[in-house]
Amino acid sequence: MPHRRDTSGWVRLVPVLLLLPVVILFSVGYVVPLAQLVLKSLRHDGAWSLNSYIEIANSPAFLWIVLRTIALAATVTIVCLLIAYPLAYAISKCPPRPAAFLLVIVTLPYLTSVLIRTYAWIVLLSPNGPINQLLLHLGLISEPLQMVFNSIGVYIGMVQIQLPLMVFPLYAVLARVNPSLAKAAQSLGSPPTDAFLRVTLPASMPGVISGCTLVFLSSLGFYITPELLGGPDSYLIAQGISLRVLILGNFDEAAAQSSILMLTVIAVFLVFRQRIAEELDDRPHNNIPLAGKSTSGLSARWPILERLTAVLHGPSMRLHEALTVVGRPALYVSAGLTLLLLVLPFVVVIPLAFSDAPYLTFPPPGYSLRWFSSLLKNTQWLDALSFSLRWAGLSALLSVAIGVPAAFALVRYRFSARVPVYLLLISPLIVPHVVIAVSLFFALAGSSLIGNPLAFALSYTIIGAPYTVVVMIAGLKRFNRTLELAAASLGSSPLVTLRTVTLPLLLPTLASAALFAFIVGFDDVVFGLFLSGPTATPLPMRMWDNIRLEISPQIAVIAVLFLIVLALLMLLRLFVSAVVQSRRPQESLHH
Amino acid sequence: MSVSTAMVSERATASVATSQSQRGSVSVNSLTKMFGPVKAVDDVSLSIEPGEFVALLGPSGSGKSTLLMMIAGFEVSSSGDIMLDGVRINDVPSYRRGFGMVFQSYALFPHMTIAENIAYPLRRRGLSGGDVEREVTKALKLVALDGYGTRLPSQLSGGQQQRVALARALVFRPPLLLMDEPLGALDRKLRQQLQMEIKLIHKEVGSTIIFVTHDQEEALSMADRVAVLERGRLQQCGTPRELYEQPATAFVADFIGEMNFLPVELRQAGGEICARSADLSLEVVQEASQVLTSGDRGLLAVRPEYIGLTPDERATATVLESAYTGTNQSVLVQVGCIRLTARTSVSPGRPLFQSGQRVRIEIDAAHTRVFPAAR
Repeated sequence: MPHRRDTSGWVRLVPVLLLLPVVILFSVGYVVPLAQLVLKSLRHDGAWSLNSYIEIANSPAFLWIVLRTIALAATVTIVCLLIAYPLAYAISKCPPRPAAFLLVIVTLPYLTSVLIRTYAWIVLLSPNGPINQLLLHLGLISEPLQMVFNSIGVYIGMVQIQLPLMVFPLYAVLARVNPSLAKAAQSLGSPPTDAFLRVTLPASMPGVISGCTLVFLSSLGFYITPELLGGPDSYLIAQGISLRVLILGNFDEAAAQSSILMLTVIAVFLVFRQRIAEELDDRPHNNIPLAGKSTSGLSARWPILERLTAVLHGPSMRLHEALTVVGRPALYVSAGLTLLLLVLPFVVVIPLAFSDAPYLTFPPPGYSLRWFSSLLKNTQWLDALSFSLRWAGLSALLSVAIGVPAAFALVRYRFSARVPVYLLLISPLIVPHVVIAVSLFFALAGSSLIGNPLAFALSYTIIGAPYTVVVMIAGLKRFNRTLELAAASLGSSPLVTLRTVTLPLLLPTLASAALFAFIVGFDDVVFGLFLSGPTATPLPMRMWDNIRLEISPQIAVIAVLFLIVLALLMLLRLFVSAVVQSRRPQESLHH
Repeated sequence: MSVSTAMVSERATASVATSQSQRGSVSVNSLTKMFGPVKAVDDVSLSIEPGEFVALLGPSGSGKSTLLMMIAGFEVSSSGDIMLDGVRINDVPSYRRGFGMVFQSYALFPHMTIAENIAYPLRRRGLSGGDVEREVTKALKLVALDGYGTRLPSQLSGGQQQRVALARALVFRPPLLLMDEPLGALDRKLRQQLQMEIKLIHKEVGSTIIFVTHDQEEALSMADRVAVLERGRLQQCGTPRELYEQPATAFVADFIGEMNFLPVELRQAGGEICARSADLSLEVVQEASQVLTSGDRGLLAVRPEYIGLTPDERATATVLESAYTGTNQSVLVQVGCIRLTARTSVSPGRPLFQSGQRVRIEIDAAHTRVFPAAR
């Protein structure tokens, strides 16, 4: 039970002070620009008007784009759910160590730049790429399939890129489902598959809902993968918006389309917020919704259905028994294939980096370090790299500095604006980056901030801070507060307790939070598209241009370097938690 | 380790014991805690002598933990006073109260060694170097864990961890030690062993102890006095014997030990009240009080050991079930529409009571108490 503190006097001010920095930054850099964007969409030639909306409503092309976007997002969501569930379920059944290892494999692609993964898919799916070669070799096809630069490529790439976002919430819920429940169902006469359907699956519905919401919403506003893997005939809404801003200069329509996209996403988000804002919910959950109950307390069912189940009982039990035999192998095969899909990009990217060919070809005809040395000789790449490291690093520190106090305020204090503030702080996870970037572009247009590194610091912090908030909230909720009471009873003032007990134990969480915030900024392409200038070009923009204009193994080299750094950071994080877990006495008590 | 340190630790317990003088008297006056509209602690007054061992006993939700948390300074009282040695401490933050506290979940800092855990309160009090080491060694010896200092909490068993928590809470010689269900997470055998150890340590260090438990056996066997709480109200505070023999309320009578309750009719005669049970043709006379008035229905409480049974074929009472426990036999008897449990001592040669047997019931009026019926 959280111990309620005195809510009188200056104690009330503590959460306000903790939230002040993040709220100010979000107001200036996020809420105000978005509000201006919506206002802009409602104005035409200096007067209030719905002109822009009428224009796009009358455009059949726009309706097709909307339909195409929704169809893509829905299909990607369903495919992700179908292939992520067996994997999440299998991981939840693993012993702790293999499970942790498998989760790292799921996390690795999630942390790797979308750009790098999309690049890998271009290589994998190209007419002379490894997949076509394999199919030709097996004799399944007689000529290469066209799988890239059309909607097939977009679908395949999107599913792989969104998969981790589906696996995480499913795993989080499945790992919490009490395994005794399925055992109890079996002891009561359910074959394992029946027990799964009746007990485990319903109990995992919150994870299904939050996973589907996350994947669907982030697919709606996806830009990079459709732009790089798709063809000119398969435009999606985010591409339409950036095209209007960057090429056509049709700002009013862009504002209107952005507003529609943003408001749709926010509406869906608010409908499902209970699942997403679950982290802050203190009430016990009633995970399984109660169906219509009769007065006897039994589910009310149609008599015909009742009779049907009675008739079908025998065959259905035999079916379940048969399924039990194939169930386990099918589960493992499916989970294995999904894992393969997750790591496939790395399988091509790593050898490609060591290619000795002067152009992109897979498998590489020979191996050399020529692309590594070409990177090190190219000052443009190195400048971009140092720009990204510097400003993504600064933004990560800033995100931690404003996100961590905010997480403390949200977890440790009760105040009326708590849930709205939380939803605001995590909303950049949901609102498409294209929309945020366009709004900043409009807000900063004409000022010297376009093409200025400070604009990057601001936008990276706005998309990074939600990660620090979410990671810290989870860490603080797991934190055993009795330890703080113990420290107080032993004579520690609140600040000393924070320094000697709370922060040392939360160190691994802080490291994760900073890592996430850094990677989000370091990977960004979308803000780069709108905010870059001659003196401010982040690394992903260089990669973006390279992929669009020449496609060389250069990107693979960056991917490999990125993976090495990521592996080092993950090792560092493991090391930090290992130190916290098993710290030997540093100030020895024995001379 | 040098010889002198070893000699110091030999004397460890002696010096800890002498450090407690007449500090540590605690009293709470009309203390109330509201959680919204709910009174978690309702007008509780209690005063505890220096060096006394008091258990707060009650079912879950009775307010015993909330009361302890207010004394510790982790909950703010809604009204009333908390006094330590005559000084009001309601507004003193927990970390300046200087009370030791042992938590049910041990609450050892997982990132510190055992020695660092025990040194923690000493460092907060400005001790360093050899002083810290000496005190930590003493404290470890006090809880019989010498040599465990370099380990981490995760490398110790539950019982050992709780002993470390005890050492950590005692190492700075607090005038008052608060324990919140400290043995709740341990298995029965370990619990009994630690109960003994805590009593011994209490004798050695002489701190005042307030101990929260929901286990009446634990409270009765460990504490000098037991305060029974129910729904936030203090029902009675007394020695274990007082609670058992002279329960102040029907709740205490029911909660402590086994008790039979018989419905009775009350009739007042002068300064006395007469309780009559129709089923048993029994009359008990007791001094009248405010809560007991004529014409009311009451409850007559009698412990199983004060119900005598005699085999009698003409009697109206029937044995329903019986359980033999070695020295005793518990017998469930039906008479009219009431059921009673009697406990009879088993003597060699005398036959045990059998189901269906007719028995005559005798109740020793001197060992009964009457309570108002509306419990």
